[in-house]
Amino acid sequence: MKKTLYTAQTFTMRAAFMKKLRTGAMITFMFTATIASATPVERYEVMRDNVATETIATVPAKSTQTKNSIPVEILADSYSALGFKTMQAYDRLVERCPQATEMEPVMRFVTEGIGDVDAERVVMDCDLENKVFNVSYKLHDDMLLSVSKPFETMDDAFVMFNVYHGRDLLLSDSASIELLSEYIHDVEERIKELA
Amino acid sequence: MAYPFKPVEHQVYRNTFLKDVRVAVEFRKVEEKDTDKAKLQRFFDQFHGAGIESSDFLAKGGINVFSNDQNVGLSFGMNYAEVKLSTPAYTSFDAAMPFWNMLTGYLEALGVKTVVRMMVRKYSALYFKSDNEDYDVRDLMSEVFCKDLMKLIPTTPGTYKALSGMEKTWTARDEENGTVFNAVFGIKKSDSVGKSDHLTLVTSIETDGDGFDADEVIDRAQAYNKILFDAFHWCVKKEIIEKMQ
Repeated sequence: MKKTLYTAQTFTMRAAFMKKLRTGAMITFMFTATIASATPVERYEVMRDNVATETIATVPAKSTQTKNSIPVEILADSYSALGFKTMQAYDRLVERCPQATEMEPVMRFVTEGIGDVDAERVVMDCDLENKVFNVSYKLHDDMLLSVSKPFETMDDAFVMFNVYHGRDLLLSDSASIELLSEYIHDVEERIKELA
Repeated sequence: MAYPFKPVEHQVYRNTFLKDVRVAVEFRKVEEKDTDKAKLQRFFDQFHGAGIESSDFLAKGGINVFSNDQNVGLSFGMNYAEVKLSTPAYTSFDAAMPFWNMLTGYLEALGVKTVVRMMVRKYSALYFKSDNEDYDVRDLMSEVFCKDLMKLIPTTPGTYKALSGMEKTWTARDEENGTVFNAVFGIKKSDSVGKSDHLTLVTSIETDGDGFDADEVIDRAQAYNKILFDAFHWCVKKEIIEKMQ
């Protein structure tokens, strides 16, 4: 008989409180979880550790685009649903591979640059030998967006990306992170309009 | 010697900084020839959508399964099993019992009678931001952690600005019950000033003695969880607990 188990999906930053230290610095502590009503586990998936690795292998090893200077922005402190998924994905990556912390600036560059995406799932991976960071967003309708960024290209704005439908590669290209982000959000808007 | 944690009446807090809870068991490796494939298949069939075949599982020697929202993670191997629940899925240990029961279900399906080692672990991260970087990290940590833990922190660990991160471990043994408790606490500093920095607290309790009967897993997990609940109240200052209500 099929069992239905429940998880609680709501995740909000419920409360914050401030403390003034004796040196005068003001600290804001933030709780990150709140108890929520339960919702059923819709389905289970078998983890494929090699998803991101496969996508890295399909893109050029190095960006050859013109170098642009861009600021490395700060990780969003708005713990939106995606922000949390991103953090979770990063925590999982670091748990699996503690040395991955050295890729944190690249992770921030990519996830911040892309911004909020309506993703069902976020998976991160990295190739420490070649210092390439990869994040994959599982989007609607079995679409997968995979974005790669080698550490050594941190001084330019370009990322490499692949778009899959299921296991079929639809597009493999490189673009500035701003342009890619703009494109993703345009597509999202159009999908909303069509829905 | 028993642990120094005072018993605290159990309650579910409205606000927490708990990130995940995991229960893991380890047992002597089971050989494929000793398994009942049909029994294993019945166990894996409960993970609707994942389409796990017991023959594939046996060929690989292990499998990781996630709920579609990623909040439930299960890991099954020929000598281990683990269930990890992230905060949205974890509201209380008792409410999560169906997930913990998956461990015993797996042990039963695999024909495991004796568990060699067991661990219950809770990972908490309290995020913070500051208006400047010129403060002593000890001052910050002592706002959250108890005096006994703070004894492990150097009197002058340095200012936040100068520090890259810090982690200390406090360990205690309960020889009578054959368990070890660890509290790993510290500060994890982000490269981006004042944004995703957090104070971490990982509490865990694990068996330190001989193996035990697989039927005892749930009872032990509940008992360990109670110790971790009491331990949390010992590790974290009362003022923080009050903010959680």
